[in-house]
Amino acid sequence: MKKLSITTIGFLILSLALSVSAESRTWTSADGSKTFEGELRSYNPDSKQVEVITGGRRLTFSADVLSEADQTYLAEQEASKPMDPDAIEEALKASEVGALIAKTKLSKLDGSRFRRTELDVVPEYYFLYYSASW
Amino acid sequence: MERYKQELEGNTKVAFIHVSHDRSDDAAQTWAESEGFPWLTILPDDAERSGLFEYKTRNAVPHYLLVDAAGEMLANSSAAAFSKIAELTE
Repeated sequence: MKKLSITTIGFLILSLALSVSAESRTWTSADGSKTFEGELRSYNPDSKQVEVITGGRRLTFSADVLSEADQTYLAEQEASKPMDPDAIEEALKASEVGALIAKTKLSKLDGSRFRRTELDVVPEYYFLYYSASW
Repeated sequence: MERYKQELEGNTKVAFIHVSHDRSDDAAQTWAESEGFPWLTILPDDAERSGLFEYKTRNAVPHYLLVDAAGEMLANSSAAAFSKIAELTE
């Protein structure tokens, strides 16, 4: 039996991972008259440009031509994206409490030791718990 | 801690931050480890210079405050803070 090289195995694993992570869905036009299958590649909420791969072709169009359900899906996909750490820091610095937090070292228990960490969201509210063991 | 896990964990609108008044980072570490604190903590060495003591309305601990991002006080007790969060984020 022919042996596969490590590179080939790596490529196969990567291909499988990509095919699993790409989510194909049925897209519907705004008036509901047309549908097509495709995988979302990108969505720009500012320009409303959507990029979808369908049948090996790349389609780019405005989200306005899609159904309300598809537009909700796009908005949810966008909202679920983790924020860029630099964008989080900038957003924190724009508020009084956020600015204090941004320049302060935060820690969190990781097993039995504290590890340095940072906020991965921009909160609207801060619940401050002042306490001590003594 | 149970209330934190039930009502705050995963709520991206609210950051729960423990500002430690312990005598040392080691003391805070020992306490946190024994209790298994799940929240963000500002250790004693960093707490003083964090500027967050400015919001305290009393010197005793434990002391709970809910402030908005602009620093406006919304609640100054644990019960009031949880109640206010439920109202603000429902």
